[in-house]
Amino acid sequence: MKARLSVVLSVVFLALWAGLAFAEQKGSIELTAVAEKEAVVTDAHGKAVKKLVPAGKVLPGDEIVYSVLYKHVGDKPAENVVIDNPIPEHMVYVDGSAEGRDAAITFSVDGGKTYRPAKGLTVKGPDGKPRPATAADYTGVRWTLKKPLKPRESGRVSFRARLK
Amino acid sequence: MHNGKFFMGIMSAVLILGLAPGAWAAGTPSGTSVANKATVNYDVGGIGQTLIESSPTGNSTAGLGNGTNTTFLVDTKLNLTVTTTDVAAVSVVPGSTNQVLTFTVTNTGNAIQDVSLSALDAAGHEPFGLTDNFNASNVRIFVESGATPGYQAGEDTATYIDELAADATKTVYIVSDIPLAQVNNDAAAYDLVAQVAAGGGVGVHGADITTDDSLVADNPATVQRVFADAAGSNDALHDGKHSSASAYKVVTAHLSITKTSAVIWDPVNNAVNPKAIPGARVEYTISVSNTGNASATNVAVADSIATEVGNGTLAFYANGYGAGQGIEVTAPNINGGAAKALTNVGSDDEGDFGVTTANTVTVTGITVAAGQSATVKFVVTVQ
Repeated sequence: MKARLSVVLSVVFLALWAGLAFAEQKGSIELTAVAEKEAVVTDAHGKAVKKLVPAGKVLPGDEIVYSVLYKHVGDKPAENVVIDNPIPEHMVYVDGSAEGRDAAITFSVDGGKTYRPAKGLTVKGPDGKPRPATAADYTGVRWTLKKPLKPRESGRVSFRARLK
Repeated sequence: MHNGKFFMGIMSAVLILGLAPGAWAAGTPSGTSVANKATVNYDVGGIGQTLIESSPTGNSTAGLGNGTNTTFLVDTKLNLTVTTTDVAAVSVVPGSTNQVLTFTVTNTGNAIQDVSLSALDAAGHEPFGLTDNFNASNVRIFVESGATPGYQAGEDTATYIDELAADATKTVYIVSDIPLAQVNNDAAAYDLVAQVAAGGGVGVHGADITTDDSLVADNPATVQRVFADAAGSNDALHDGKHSSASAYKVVTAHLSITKTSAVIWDPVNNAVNPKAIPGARVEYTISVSNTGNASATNVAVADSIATEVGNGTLAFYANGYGAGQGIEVTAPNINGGAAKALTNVGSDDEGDFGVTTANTVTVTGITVAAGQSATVKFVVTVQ
């Protein structure tokens, strides 16, 4: 009975979202997702420096830097700002790569249903018993901003993932 | 019950999705679009707001489906790996045909490719510590058809690899003939060079891919080609090729023969310091030794005393090693390696006198392995 109830609830939510989307409601936060590669380039002083360039040539094994840029475009502060980024299909999260200033970082191993700090995350092993989750088990990254976002404030959170 | 079944269905779907990417050891296939989208949830004045999805250029329109994926296309990794499966030089005998060097060619890239094949002389970078000093003749290359393992002249006829899938491996043979003039320890080394070529047409040998897009600007919207191969035995890093070397080594028997004589008896001194006076017995010892690297089989020793018998200087002594036994053989494959007396008549054992050929000692069926020797002895009487 519980399962049936949740299915019904999801349908209601979907209908609600669809209705809102139709209204083209302008939100308070502008969200930009970019995919970049780290390249070594020579700077004006002839020094080799690491620089992020658009992800053009990407081969299996290459590492992509995924950045999410957020900018407050409304007029009232936004509280409890939570940014979610599922690990894209074909990609594997690079251990310890998630970054975000003034943000608590948590991870999901169940497709975004629940998020927990990296420490203590478990998945079911082949023997059916829980084992500590590794970076390869992560299905999503969540950044929870510790402070409200004021109008015109912006920031960047990021993680790295490797193409399988 | 219905709910339970539904749940099981979801679980298996997740399992299949979770396992499928692991099947690609060579990586995500070329041309795959990798999409990413982030979402933000927030409150204003304590009230939850509609989520906002990301877009590559920035989106603030709330609601599911109003964002756009940030995508890139997986490019084509061109990478072949050639390895010889010969663990040592392939031993060949002079004059032999269709001698085989064996290699595997693996597509370690992420797209289907054709592979062009060529054999180069590996002189100067020979494997197995050899020095290349001859060329085999009639050098050809064939791809294993998969019907019967090992090179089969009638079956393995393809000269290039057609449609080699990512992660797939084919066995390739260099097949050649060895000139009759070669001697023991001669060596001929060859590189098998695999060159990546365009795939996509079954039964069509695609054009060689000789340049990649490393000099072309990156473009997330197009599938570009990148050489990722290592340097092989006879090719460079990132040149669309890979190679490995193997070699033929001539291994044959090398027989040397010596003949010595000793007076063993005379009618005056008998066995004590006998002299070669008329009536004396002289024992001939014929030694055959194999200083080559292969076993010599069916060795036949024949020694004619026809001239000496004809001019009356010598006569064959019929009972040198027993009654009616005038010949003795010592060979590793006869009598457990111990000396064996042979009768003078034919057919009953390995030797005869005057049966196979008149006035000639003949011993057949001797096997002399590498490093071993055999002896044949007989006695004559001085006339």
